[in-house]
Amino acid sequence: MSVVQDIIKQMSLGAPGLLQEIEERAPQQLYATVAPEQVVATAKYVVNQLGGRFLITAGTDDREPRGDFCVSHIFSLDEEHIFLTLQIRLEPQDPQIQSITGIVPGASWAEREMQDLLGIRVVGLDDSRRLVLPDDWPEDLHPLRRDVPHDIRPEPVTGAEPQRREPPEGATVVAIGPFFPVLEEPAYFRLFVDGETIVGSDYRGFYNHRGIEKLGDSALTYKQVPFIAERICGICGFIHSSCYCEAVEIAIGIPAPPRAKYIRSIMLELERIHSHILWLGIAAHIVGFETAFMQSWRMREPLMWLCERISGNRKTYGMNQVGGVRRDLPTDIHPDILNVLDTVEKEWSELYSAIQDDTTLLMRLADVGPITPDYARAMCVAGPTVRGSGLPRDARVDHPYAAYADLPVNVITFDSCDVLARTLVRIEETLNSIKQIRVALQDMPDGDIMAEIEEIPAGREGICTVEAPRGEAIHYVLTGSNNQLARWRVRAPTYCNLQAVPGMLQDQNIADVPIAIGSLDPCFSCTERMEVVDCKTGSVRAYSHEEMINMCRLQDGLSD
Amino acid sequence: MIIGKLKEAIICLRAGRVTLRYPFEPSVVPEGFHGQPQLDIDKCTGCGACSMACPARCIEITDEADQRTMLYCLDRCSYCARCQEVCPEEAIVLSSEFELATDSVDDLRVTARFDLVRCEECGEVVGTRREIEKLAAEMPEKTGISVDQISWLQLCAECKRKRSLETARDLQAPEQ
Amino acid sequence: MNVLYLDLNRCIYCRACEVACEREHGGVSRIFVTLLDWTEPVPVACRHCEKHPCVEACPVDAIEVTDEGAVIIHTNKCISCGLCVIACPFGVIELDKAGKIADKCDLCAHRLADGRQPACVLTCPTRCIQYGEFEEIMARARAKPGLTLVSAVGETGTVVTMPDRPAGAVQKATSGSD
Repeated sequence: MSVVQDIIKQMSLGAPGLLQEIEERAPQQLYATVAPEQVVATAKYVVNQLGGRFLITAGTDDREPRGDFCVSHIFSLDEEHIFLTLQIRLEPQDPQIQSITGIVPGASWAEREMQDLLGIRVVGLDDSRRLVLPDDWPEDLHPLRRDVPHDIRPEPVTGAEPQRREPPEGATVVAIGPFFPVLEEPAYFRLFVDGETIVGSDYRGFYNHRGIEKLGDSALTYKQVPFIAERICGICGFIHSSCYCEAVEIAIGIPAPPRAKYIRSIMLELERIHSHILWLGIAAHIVGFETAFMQSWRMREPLMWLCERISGNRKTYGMNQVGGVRRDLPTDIHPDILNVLDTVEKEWSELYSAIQDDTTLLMRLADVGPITPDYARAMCVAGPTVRGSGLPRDARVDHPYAAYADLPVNVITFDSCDVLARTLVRIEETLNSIKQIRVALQDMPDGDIMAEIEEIPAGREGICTVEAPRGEAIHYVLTGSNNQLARWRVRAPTYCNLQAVPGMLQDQNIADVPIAIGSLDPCFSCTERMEVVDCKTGSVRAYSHEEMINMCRLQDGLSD
Repeated sequence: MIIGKLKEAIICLRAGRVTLRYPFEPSVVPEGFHGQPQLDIDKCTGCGACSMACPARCIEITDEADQRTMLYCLDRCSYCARCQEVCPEEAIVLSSEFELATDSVDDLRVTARFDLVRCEECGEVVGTRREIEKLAAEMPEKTGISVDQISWLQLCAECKRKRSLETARDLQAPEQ
Repeated sequence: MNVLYLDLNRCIYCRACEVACEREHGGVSRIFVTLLDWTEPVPVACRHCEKHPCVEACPVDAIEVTDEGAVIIHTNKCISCGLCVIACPFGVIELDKAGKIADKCDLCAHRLADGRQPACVLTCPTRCIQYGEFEEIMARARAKPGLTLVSAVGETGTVVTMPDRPAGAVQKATSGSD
């Protein structure tokens, strides 16, 4: 009996009355229909009996044509390599559902987001404040509902107050944000401190929520989405376009050709290498270790040039398309790739060795920002953050995609559960990625790089996870008619990792906050000013902030 | 401690100077680089496939009177090369041009204008003159339908539906 | 070979076929009930022509003639250049601006695959749209007294029967529409 049938049997026997229906809609992807009143009991069964790990919730406005809302709680059965989705269909009038946060605390954001964006009321949430929508967004306007246009700009509600959590008695509030200076990211942490010790915290984010999911299922076609998906993240964009493309390929049952899968794996690992190198630089910068910052970024540069040569673009390669990749990796470029990898491997090992002997640095990282394995499991954290807590979770092994089934993926774990563990995981992963690319280049099969896809039928579902440098990214797609998606749910790894921040900072020293948060590797961006250099005279002139704003305002003729 | 610092010092010293003397020396881009898209206006028929494909919606089409205007807003370009991929005339290619900084956004806007053909019955837009001439030139050979039979190229979809039914009806009538 | 049969005398302008087509194809109808002379409703859908100008016009081979004779647009290959729209003699291809693809009747290929009839056929209350074996449909059309049979372009395409009317009335109608 196959593993899938075994799970179906287990669920039918072990959880009598919980399921209305269970079917395998794509290989290794089970969808179980659950009555609304059974959702908590079923989630409990999946987590406790089957060892399910919660990934994300996708709410769907299915009022047209099915006449209801659908909530999909997606779980991963890691050992069996299966995605198990619990689907609950809800009445179109005042849809509501019981929260599963009692079973899975890490589902909190997913449920709050669904409440904000789809207006599906979640009963029993500990914290039902707004998560994604701005404070001055109208109460009854839920932007992911299909009758709300993607470009709506409602009148801001006047007098709306941010819903802040009050500090415990005797504690002082230290605000970091709304623009977090170390990360250069819009995030607002309110730390409750007693002396220098953190006794609690509150988080408000999503200041830059761009509505990409909405754009993907209302304004863009299947072939346009990969390029927008790639812009979800400025560093690991290829992760998202790969994840989207593979999810659609799974949904329609047409995989990319083997050669395309190898090329995807190679690009994904190149991205992991340059992302980890970049992260080490930033982490060093956060703790004031500028040598490692400069040297790691210097090491990274040849990789960026290499990517530019392979794809035509330094970043956001634009290589993915549903069905395969748009550019081949010809043999004449292989020696160059190997050369760059050899140099990076040598220099990275040297830097690793230097860091290991640098006791000052180690003292800054050890025992800082602890995340216990139990807490990591409860908050569903991912990537180096979970592997630094000793749990061997890696999407490349749990749910192999691209060519990872054939590559030597070594899941690297460290069990000191602190920032140092997360650092070491990343450093060693970089070396493992280099090995994987070498094997992939050697074993890359010949053949097409794009599958023949004639049509993408409506009503198909697909889930794909891709191990990003920061953790697993998850894309759920529901295909629609007219060349467009009906629903596209994206979970970036930072989404779950940030939920672990309160526990990670608890009882920590306030001086360690930047590196603790930085150890999750949220994304960075920087473009602050512009210089004009005269090539003939060599004179340099910098435009001021006001000058640049004026130039934009006077000349921007476009409406959106 | 001291060993770690020594190792770091060696790494720094060996690295030396790594930056380029750009902009005083040229920065050469690799083959196949995705730089600024360049439009060959002689090849372009104004069909608008690029506009539909562009994920960043850089290419705006406006039909006014007897003219179609295509505005390429290259300041919004994301260099994905989808326009190049779909163009049936190979009229748009991504060049190796990347030095696009300018203090006037107009330098990054390209406009192409095409004669429009409007439906001879109702005045609705049918397509550009170039598209229709191209079809009129190719159709007889490819389909075996003679040139004088393909008058429908001058009609919009709705008028074609009516015209084709009326023609069929008129053909039947004498047989009654 | 199966063909779509449109009996133009029976159309009562209820436009149920358009609604059915819309629901089947994500909100865009690919069958058009066209009014001739403001009074005479005629349902028009793709005739799946034998000479198929659309197939020839497509620069990326996205339109294919299947073994059953149906002319199908493969939406994933379409680049929405609109050349097929101009090339179609019968005005049954339209550009779907939202989906950014050319759209036309595919004889409900997905329904046929499940052994079901096309949506318009199933919905038409007067059974003026029918789908069946070519010979059978031809026999049915021929058996209709007073009706003349028009095969659109080739023999394999949609069979259209035109309304029965005296020559004089046609003349009048034609001049009236000018």
